[in-house]
Order: sequence, then C-alpha cells, then structure tokens
Amino acid sequence: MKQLYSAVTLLLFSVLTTQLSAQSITGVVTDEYNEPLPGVAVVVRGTDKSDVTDFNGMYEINGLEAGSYVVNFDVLGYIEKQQGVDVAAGGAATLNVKMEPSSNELDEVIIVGYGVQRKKEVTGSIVSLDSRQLTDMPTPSFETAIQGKAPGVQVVTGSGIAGSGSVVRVRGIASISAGGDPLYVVDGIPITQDYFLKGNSGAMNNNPLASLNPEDIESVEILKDASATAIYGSRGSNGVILITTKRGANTRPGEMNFEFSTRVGVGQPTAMPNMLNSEQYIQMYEEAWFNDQALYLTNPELFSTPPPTGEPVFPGGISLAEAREVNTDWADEMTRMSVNQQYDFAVGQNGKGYNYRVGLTYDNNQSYLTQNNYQRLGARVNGDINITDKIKLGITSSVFQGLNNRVDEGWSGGLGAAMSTALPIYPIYNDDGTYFSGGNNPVRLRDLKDWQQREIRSINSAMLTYNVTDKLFLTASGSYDFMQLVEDIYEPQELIGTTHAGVAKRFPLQVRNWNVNATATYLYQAAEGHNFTFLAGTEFQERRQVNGNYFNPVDSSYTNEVTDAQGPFFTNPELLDQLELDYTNLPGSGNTFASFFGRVNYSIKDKYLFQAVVRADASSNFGPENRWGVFPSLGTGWVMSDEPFLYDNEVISFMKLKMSYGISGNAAIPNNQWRATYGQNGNYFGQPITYQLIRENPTLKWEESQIFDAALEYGFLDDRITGEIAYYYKYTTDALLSVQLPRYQGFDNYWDNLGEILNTGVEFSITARPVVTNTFSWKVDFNIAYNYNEITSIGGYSEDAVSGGTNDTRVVVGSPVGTNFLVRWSHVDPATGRPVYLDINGNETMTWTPDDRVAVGKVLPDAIGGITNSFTWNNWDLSFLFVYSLGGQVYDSSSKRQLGVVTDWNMRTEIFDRWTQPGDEATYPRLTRDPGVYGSNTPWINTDLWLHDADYLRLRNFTIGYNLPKSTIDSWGIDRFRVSFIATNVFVLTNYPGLDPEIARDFENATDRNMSVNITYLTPPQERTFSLALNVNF
Amino acid sequence: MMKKQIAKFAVIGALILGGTACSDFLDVKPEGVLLEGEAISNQQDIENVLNSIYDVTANVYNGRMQAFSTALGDNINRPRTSTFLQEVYGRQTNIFNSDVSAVYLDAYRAVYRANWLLENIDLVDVEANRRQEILDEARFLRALMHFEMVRYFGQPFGFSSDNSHLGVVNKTATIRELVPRNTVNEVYNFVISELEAVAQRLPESNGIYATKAAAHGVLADVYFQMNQFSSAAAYADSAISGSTTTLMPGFNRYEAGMNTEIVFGGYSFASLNDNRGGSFAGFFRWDNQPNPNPELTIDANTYALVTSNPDDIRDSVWFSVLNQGNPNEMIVYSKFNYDFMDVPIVHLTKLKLTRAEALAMTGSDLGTAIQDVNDIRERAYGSNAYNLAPTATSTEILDAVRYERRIELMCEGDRIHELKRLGVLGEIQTIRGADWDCPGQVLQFPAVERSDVFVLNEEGGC
Repeated sequence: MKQLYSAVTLLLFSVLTTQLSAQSITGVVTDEYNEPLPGVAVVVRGTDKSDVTDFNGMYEINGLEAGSYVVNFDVLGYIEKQQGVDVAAGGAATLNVKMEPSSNELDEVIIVGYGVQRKKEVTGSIVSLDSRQLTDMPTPSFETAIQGKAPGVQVVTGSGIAGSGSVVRVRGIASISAGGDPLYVVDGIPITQDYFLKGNSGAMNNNPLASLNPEDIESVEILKDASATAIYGSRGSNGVILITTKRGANTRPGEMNFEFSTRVGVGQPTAMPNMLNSEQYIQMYEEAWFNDQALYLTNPELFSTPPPTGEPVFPGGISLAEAREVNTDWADEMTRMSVNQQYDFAVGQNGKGYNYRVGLTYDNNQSYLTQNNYQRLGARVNGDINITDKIKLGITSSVFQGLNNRVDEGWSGGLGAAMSTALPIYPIYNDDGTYFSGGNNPVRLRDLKDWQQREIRSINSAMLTYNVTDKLFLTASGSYDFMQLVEDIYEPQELIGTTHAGVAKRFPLQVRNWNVNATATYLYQAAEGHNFTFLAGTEFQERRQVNGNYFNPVDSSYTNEVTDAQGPFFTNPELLDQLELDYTNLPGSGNTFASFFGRVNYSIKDKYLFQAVVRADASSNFGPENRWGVFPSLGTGWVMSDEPFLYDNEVISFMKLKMSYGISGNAAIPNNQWRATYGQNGNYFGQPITYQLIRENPTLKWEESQIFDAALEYGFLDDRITGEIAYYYKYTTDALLSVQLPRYQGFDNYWDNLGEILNTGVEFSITARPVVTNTFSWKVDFNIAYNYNEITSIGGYSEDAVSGGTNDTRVVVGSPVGTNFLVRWSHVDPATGRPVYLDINGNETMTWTPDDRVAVGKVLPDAIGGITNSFTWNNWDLSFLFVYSLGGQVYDSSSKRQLGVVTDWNMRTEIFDRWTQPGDEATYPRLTRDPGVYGSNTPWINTDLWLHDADYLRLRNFTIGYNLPKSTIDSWGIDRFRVSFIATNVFVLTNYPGLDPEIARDFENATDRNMSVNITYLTPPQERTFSLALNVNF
Repeated sequence: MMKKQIAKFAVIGALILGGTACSDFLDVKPEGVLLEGEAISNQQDIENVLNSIYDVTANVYNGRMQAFSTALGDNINRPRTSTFLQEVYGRQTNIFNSDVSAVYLDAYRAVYRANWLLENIDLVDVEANRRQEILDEARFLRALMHFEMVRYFGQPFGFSSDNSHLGVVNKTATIRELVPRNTVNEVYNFVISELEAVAQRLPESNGIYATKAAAHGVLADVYFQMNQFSSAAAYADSAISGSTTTLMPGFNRYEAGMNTEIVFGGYSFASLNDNRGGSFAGFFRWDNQPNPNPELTIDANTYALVTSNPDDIRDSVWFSVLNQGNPNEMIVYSKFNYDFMDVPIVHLTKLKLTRAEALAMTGSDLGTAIQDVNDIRERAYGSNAYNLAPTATSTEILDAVRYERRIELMCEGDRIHELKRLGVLGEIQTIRGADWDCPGQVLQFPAVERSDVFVLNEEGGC
C-alpha cells in the first residue's frame, strides 16, 4: 500500500516536472556472488526509459530530467528490486545493484495453456520444472527426469532397454481402459503420444516421447487440477504436461550465444538375476525327476501323467553326461557394460525484434543388453520475428531421427531368455561351431536376427500474434506433427529354417497430426485494482495413422516382406526396387477434435483471484448423440500475505490459499468404437458373407472427472522456506471400459462408460535453504504425495470383465485400479511337501483353481515422493536426489516358473529353500515336474507367493560439478565452463527380492498399461550409469 | 465494447464451424471396413448375413465342440498335450479354459447374427417369401446353437425333476444387458417351440441349407436327449422320410463330397481351400506325419470292445495300433484322416440309430427299429450275419443299438450326451469312474459370464 502510494506520488511528480532531459543513470548489476548479471531489465519508474544490462552487467539510461527516481531491476530467477536515486540537474547518477536470487519464484511467469500467468496469480495446481531439472541426469526419455521432483506425479521408470519410456501418472489413475497418461503438449501442440502404434512387439512398447531431446526443453509445466486442466477439456483428466522448447536466450542481448554440452558415460544393470548354474540346475531337475517317481508309487492320483521311468532326460533330449559338460552363463552372455554419449550444440541470439535458437543433437544410448541401442540425431530451429510493431511471427521446427536397434520379448531374446528357457546346460555353439538350436539360444537369435526401427519425427508450428491494441492480442497458429516409423526385421535362413535365403520384412507407418488454433486475449481494467483477462479460442485437430505395404506389380499383390533376401532392407535397398510403397491399401485410422474455449481471470488488487474456464470439445471418437462435451472449472485464490494482518509479518513472507472445482475429460480410446462396422472376409459354400465386427455403442461418451482441489502455498522467513500443501478429490464417472462382454452377447468386447473411480490425496512439498552464505549454500527439496484410489463401480460386470492382460490384475469394486487378483498361498505342507492354498472362504486346500482368486494386492503405491539435497561451495556444487515409493506391491509374475514346477525354465537360487523331506518347513514345495502334484493342471500357478512389498528408497541421481571461476573463463572469452560427474540409480534400499522394485514393462494395451505397472515378467532392470559431462557457453 | 465484439466473433465462429462443416469434420470414416449403410443395402447383403450364420455355425462344428463330448466320454485316453482339453477330460474345466470359451463364443456369435437378422431384415426390401425363409433359417440355427450349448453347460434334461436347474441364456435379441441363466426347462422349451415353428415353413429341399427335414432331425435329437421317445421317433422318422439321403456303403462319412447321408451339416471344398473339419484333423489325424503323435487316441478298453467282433469292418477302417508292443504304443483313429471334411450334423446313420432306440424304448414299431439296426450292421459287418432277428425283443434291440451307436458315432460328439441320457434313465451310474451327474460333467463358463445375476457352474470337478 505504501509502495503504491509512493509510486503514484512519483508518477505525479514526474509528469509535473518539466526540465531538460540531459541527465543519466549508469551502473552495474551483480548477482549474489558479485558476478556481473546480464539481461536484467532496468526500468526507471514513471518514465519510458529503460535498458537491459549487457554481458558485463552494465546499463546506461540517458535522457532523464533531474529529480528523484525509483529504478526497477528485474530478471528471471532473482527478486525484483527497486532502488531510489536522485539525479541532479546536469549530473550523472551511478546506481550499482546486487540482486538476490528469488526462492519462491512467485513472480516467475509460467505457461498455463494458451497463455502465461504470473505464478502468484495462478489458482490451479501447476508444477513447473526448468531445463536444469530436466537435464541433470541422463535418461532414456525426458519424462523420466520428472521423477521425485513434482509432488503428486508418479513416474514409473522404464526398464533398462534403450529408449524405453516411463509411465507417468498425475494424482493417481483416473482411467481404466482409456489412455491414463497425461496429455503431452509441446509448444502448444497436443503431440502424437500413442504407445501402441507397434502393439506389443519386442521387449518394450514404442516410446513416442523418445525422440524429444531433453536439451531442447526450456520448461515443463504439469497441470494437475481442474482449474489448470479444464482448458484442455476432454483430454485433461489425467493431467496435462506442457513442454516449452528453448528460444533465443536473453543472456547477452544482441549477441550470438553458443552452447555446447556433451556427456559420456557407462552403464550396467542395477541387478543381475541369480539363475542356477548347470550343476545346480541338473541337481534340481534330477531331484524333481526322482521325487516324482517315488511319489507316484504312493499317490498316483496326483499325477496328470505317469512320470517316466529310468534316468533323467533333460529338456531338449539332453542326457546327463551332455548336460554336465556345459555351463553357459546366459545372463553374462546377454549383457555388457554400455557406453553412452551425447553431444549438443546450439547457437542463439536475442536481438531487437527477433530471436532464434538453432540446436543440433546427437545421442547414442546403448543399453546394457547386447546389440540394443537407441541413437537420436536431430535439429531444432525456434525463432520469433516482429514483422511489424504489432505483428509477430513465431516458428518452432524440429526434425529428429531415432534409430532403435531392438531386442525381442523377454522370453525369446535378451536377458529375459537367460531368466527363462535358456538353460545353463545348453551350449551356445555345437562342437562343429554352428549355433546350438536344440533349445532357446538367445545368442543365436541376437546374432542372426536384425531388428531395427527408424523413426522420423518432425514437430513444427507457426504462430502469428497480432497486438491489435496494447490490450487486445490475437493469435493464430498451425502445427504439424509428423511421425514415421519404419520397422525392419531380417531373419536369415538358419533362423527361419526354410529353403529361403532369408526373410526381410518392413512395416512402414505414418502418423500425421494437424492442429490449428486461434485465440483472442483481452486485458481489461474495470477499475483501479480490478483487472480482467479474457481469453477466447478455438482449436481443430486431425490425426491420421496410415500403414504401408508394398505393391508387387509382378503378381499384383501387396506384401510387407521379401523372401530369399540376403539381408535387411536397410542394407539391401535393391530388394525394394521392384516394389512400390503404398499407404492406401491397408486400413488406417484417424480421429478429429473440434473445440471452443474461454477463460476469464479476475484479480482484485492482486490479492483476490478468480478464474473461470470452459471448454467445449467434440471428438470423432463418439457418436453424434454424445459428440460434444463441456468442461468448466472455477478457481479462486487469496493471497493472504498481502493482507494488512500479514503484510509485515516477520515469519510469514508469503501465503496463498486457493481452491478450485471443475470437470475434465478423457477421450483417449481407439477410433470409431461407437458405431457398428461390418466385414466381409471369407465365404461359406463359396458364397459371400457379411458380419458385424464392432458391437456399436452409440451412447459412448467421454469419461468425466470432477476434481476439487484446495491448497495452501506458503513462504516463511523471507521465503527461506517455501512450499505447498494440497488436498484433492477426484471422482471419475462414465469411465471408459473395454469390457470383455459376457459371451452370450455374441462379441468379445466393446467400449462402454461403466466405471467409477475415486482418487483422493494430499500432497506436501517444502523447499528450505538452511544455509545461505556467499560461499556455501544448502537447499533441500522434499515432497510426498499420498493417493487413495478405489474403483467404486464397474456396472455389475465381473472382475474378469476388464483385465490387465496376462498380468493378473483385475478390476475389483472397492479396490484400486491395478489390483492383484490371485489365489492365496498358505504354506508348504511339512508332511508331504505339497503346497497349501486358501480357497475363497479362507479354508486350506491343496487344489489350485482360479475360482479362489481374491483381491490380495495393489500395484499403486500409497505414497511417492523425492528428496533433493543441493549444496554449493564456492564454485563446486553437489546434489543428490532420492526417490521413494511406499505401500505398493510388485507382482513377480515370472517367478511362478522360475520357482515353480520344474520345466524347461531355469530356476533361481531361492529354490534351494525347498521341501526335501517330511518335517521340512520350507518356503517352496517339493520339486516336481508334474503340476498335478501342486494341485493344478498348469505350471502357470499364480498365487500371492509371488507378490512382494515394493517399498523402496533409491538414490536416483548423484551429481558433483565444478564451474570454472568467472574471472578465469572471462579471460578465455567464455561465459560458462562446467564439468560434472553424474551417477544414476546408485543404489536402492528395498525388501523386494527380485531385480528392480520399479517396473514399467511392455504392455499389451492401454488397459494393461493402466493396471499393470509394477508387474514384472522377465523385465530387464533399470540401468545404473556413471557419466562425465561438460557444458560450455560462449 | 471490445468484449462484446469478441463474444460476437466467438458466437459466429461457433455457429459456422459447429454446423454442417463441423459434423463432416468430426465424422471420420473407419478404413478397411464397412458401415451399416454400405454393408446392408440390398437383399443380397441380407443373404450374406444369413450365410455368415452358417459360416460361424460350421466353425462351431469343426471338431472343437465335438472334442469336448469325446473328452468327457469314455472312448479316449487323456489328451496328450493340450492342457485345456486335459481339463475337459479331467472334468475340471475352469473359467479360463479358452478352448471352451472360444466355442461358446462362436455359438453365441451365430445367435447374435440371427437376432440381428430378425431385428434388421427390414433395413432393405427383401422379397416376401424369401424374407420368411431367411428368418426361419436364422431361427433354426439359433435354436440349434442353444440346444448344443445347454447340453454342454447345463446338467442334462432330467437332472432335476422339474428341470429347474440352470442351463444357458436364451438369447433372443441383440440388446446388450446382463441377464441370468435360463433354466434347462426354459431352454428346451425355447428350442422346441422355435424348431417346431420353423419346421412348418422351411422348404423340403434347400441345397446345403436348413430344410424341414433338418429341423425334424434336430427335434429328434432334442426329444431323444429328453428321453421323450415317441416324439424322438416320430421326428427321426419324418426327417428320414422327408430327405433324399441314402445310406452310404462305406465309412468315409467325413470325406468331403462323399457323404450321401447328410440332412444338415457343414461342408468343405478343396477347390475353395475351405475346410470346416480342421479341428477333427488337428486332434486325430495321424496318417500325414512321419512320427504320428495325435492329441487324441483311443482308450484300450474301447478298442477291445471294437475288436471283440473280428468281423467288424470298422475296426480296420477306423482304428490302427501304432508302435505295437513298444512303450509308446497307441491306438489311433482314422475317421478324420482327410484334408477336407464335411461334418454331418443331422444324418441318416444317426437318425436311424435314434429312431431304433426310441422305438425300442416305446416298444412300438419294433420292425422299423430292427430294420434300422440291421441296416447299420450289414454295413458294419459286411453281411447280415449279425442282423437282429425279426423277432428281437425291445431289450435285444436296445443292447444292439446302443452298442452300434457308440461305435458308429465315436468321436463325433455324441458320446457324453448319450451317457448322461442313460444316467437320467438310471441305466448307468458312472461315466469313466465318476458319477454321471457330478459337477465336472458340465463345462465351466468363461470367467466373463459371471455377473451380479449370472451364476457360474459349481466347481470342484468330480
């Protein structure tokens, strides 16, 4: 209030005084280390005079009249500062200023979707991360770096496979069959983010985010509540992640800035499987063999088939003598120390009326799996130019190539084979030097099969901004997100075992994603301190996926393969000479969105904040009856610390209470599920047939989440301590389910709005700076988010109506999304060594039947979070990030084979704790080769014996860095020279007995992805890396 | 002022874009498939839908469904490798048996398509007589599927005195709703009323498609299964007299194009590479492999029964012993050793066996019964040496016809239904060592059938 008063006085004063304008103010602006600070906006209040500090932190303002002035200094990341100065007539005043880094970043401007807002004025729940936080460690995909840094955002890091993506969940999971990932928006474009373009092929789903270069990203904003996400309407209910790429930097205005960074590192698996060696396997196998022969004499009724007599015959028909001669360590054969390298170079300039940044990147990310790597090569050009005073054109354009040398699914290739059917008694080579092929030989597969996927990704946009007046801005933008995936597979004769020389296959696929939008923004001041911002806009998006194959003019047929090929298409392009690529023959798919939206922000004296948002969306994924949906939200905020009763409080430096309520939706389902389609493939008795393919549901509509959010933002002790406490309640209705229909309906499945899901939770974050001196500082970031998830309805269907694929998760009313639905294991009967299960009523039984399944676990954790400690000491810095997860479980699905019926699977050393004689109290039952002995007719015995608590604390990132002193590098003409050592996944504390307590595996479909994180099936563990990085700016 | 203008622009924009242009933009046609208007535009399209019901019905009968009867019965050994069939054999099918689930789904696919036709035939103009025929054929197939499913998924007719025990869902409309199972009584009533209704109108001859005789033939099976013998005999009789079939001299009943006995069945064509008996071959065929190892082999006791009469030609035609004297000795079955097979569903041999047994049970017209048995026997033994005497008693006829039925229809899908029927009559107590009416004698429904209103079958096997 006082400030306002003095500002008004000054304003009046400067208007009334009329003197010669010959006076000036000059000075140097420095940072907290007394180093010159460039790019600071220096504004003399009450005048139109301003300047920006140069590389040496200097500014100069001329043409002032004599008098007293207040000068305002402002730059991102520092507390805005005002300082008074008297300028005598004919004199030149000097005003040197030292800026303090801002800790609460309240005055920072953040991206909110179709615009920006000052953080202080935001009523929604938004987490903002800057580029530094996203590139502080090497990750296979940028979203992995969010883990532990954004409260309420669960990132389940992908496996150690190159280029693998993470599963990101914002405030729990509000979807079952519709895509549960947040909406990713890059520079305003909702990008193609389909994880199932290639279905479930290979050891990891295709990661649509892998081609984004983390070094290109300026900031990431994660919108969490309805106040923030409603502007994205039908696509916001699982959160929105806004990615803004870098533009011409402000460090040295008018000059070209160069940035170079590189990182070189090595990696290894975080854990290796403890499989049996040859001798151990032979011992277990023989024990099972003879156990069965003995048991059959007394209990033949237990056996589904009489056990063979005589001496053991090993899988593949191998004899004992042969087995003893071999001891292959397949895990060792399939892994290596990986080498990763990354190079980035960028040049940028920020001049008067224009800015640009051009970046080049090369990244070769090997994984520890042999012959698995992901190479990214790309370029980006971003820039803005003022065409006239009022019209600005902004361009973002990027082209990337991702080259992915892939590995097979766990059970057939890679480390997974070593953990399953590649037995230690199998040799790699026969005596004559040829590959052994009498059993699973992953080395043979790896060496002979070529599997490469080449992705071309180009995301482009152009935006015109027209400042009609200083209160009215119009924008129009168009964008095109193009993705081309070409998958090449080659299998030579030896692998396919035919008379052909080899089969080369190629599967081209394109996704073309258009988006146009236009907005109008109008600033309106109704009265002093009553400010309105109006936004109205419209947006159209069209996405089409087309699949290619090749026309062969010789026989007028279409094909994706050439038999009798000597190599893959990428090395033998002549194979394609006679073929014509065609994108029209195979069925494709597409969808469209049309939207109108508006937003009103009303702020009273910067203290009382109101926001109303409404978006109307239409999606082609729904029928005419339910095509349009309306998604409103209301948010309010109260900056209590600006009230008189807190204004001068010594302890409380900032306090804001905010609350919002609104509705967001989700429309991420396969296209055209709402209407009946018909097929005509086949015939009967030579006559054509016509039959329905999709069971129509004309009432299909989006799922809707009603979200209530209340939060308190706080700052204590001059913002030495800041943070936020938030509570949310999110209730999803009409959840989209791909229901397995009762078969009497005559269809397998169809889509319907059936489910209701509750997510509610609290989030707490705190940033404290216990020590801040000129030479030493310590900063702690801590966050924890607790989420409660429950399915409250699935419309009367059974638990099996929606399943997490083969992962044995089911939808159970009263339990969370991703409930492990399993038969309960009781114990091993000491008398007989046979397993004892619990039936559905909790009574002991020796028969395993899926009818006894109950909800026994959940893959969603209760609480997640992260702790970052950062220290600086002179030019050194050190930081480490711990991430943790509490209350979730892991289902180790493959252990039912690794520790179950003795088959052609290798086993783990835990099997030594088995029953061998009456009276034994053992974890695992007597060894057998017949599932009948375990009361089952299948060796796939899913029980909660394989379900483990998955609490963990992981040292995710450890970084130590050194910045060469300013004085030294100045003499070299360099702005920044930093070297650092980075270690990731250094260690993990957990009671989970398997490889990695954090699992994002290859999923079958969106339902599986929503329900079955943290279920492992031969999933490779994450990678531990050690890297050296160099950053040079000049 | 400015605010008003913005609002005006927004409204105009919304009207323009939200109108016709927008609805086109938002109507994204699926590729590679047809929409309803494109798929169903004339009478031929309706014929195509009917044809697709025959298509999926033939798939139900391609050997998969019949294997369940064979596996539950007493003629074969435990299936060699298929855990799903082993479950059926072990009378322990569970909710995840995808072989069972697949057949059940296909049966109800046929039902859905029939219901769709009944509800939508008037989408296009169909010539009036043909319209009625199409609907009757669809209803025939729908009833047939219900009859098959209730026999596999419910305890047999007669298991409870009023047949109030649960059967399958009578599905008579495409409406999507969760419904409870109908009682066995309700299912049989539905099947009979449908078949009797359409039998009155179905044509005498209709190519390979449903005829009056076909409906009568199925009704004979239905009433026979219900142990209602006079109706069974009457319908078998009219099916025989109403069709132009003749008894085959040989035993290649399944060889495509060779069977002259078929009143109704599935047909395969080598020329179209269209095979409707593939699963029979998959389970039994052994003659096309260097080291035969078929999934299903004949039980030694069954084989001993067949070989008990050295003059039985069927022994050498249908049975072979491989690896004799070795540990891997097996008795294999040759009935399905063909690349392409026709699958008789209603056929003369079975009709005669049914008529003979039904007549013997009622004690009337024993002459016809004896003649039926002797027709079968003369073919089986190559002479009249084993013919029943014209004076044979009902008991003698029954002994003869039940023996011949077992051997003639072996592995064709009849056996478990026959045994259960005899169980209801009290003539047998057990089937392969387990009570004829123990829970495991019926197949378990797929997991997804269960709902608040749909109760699954009892678990626990036998």
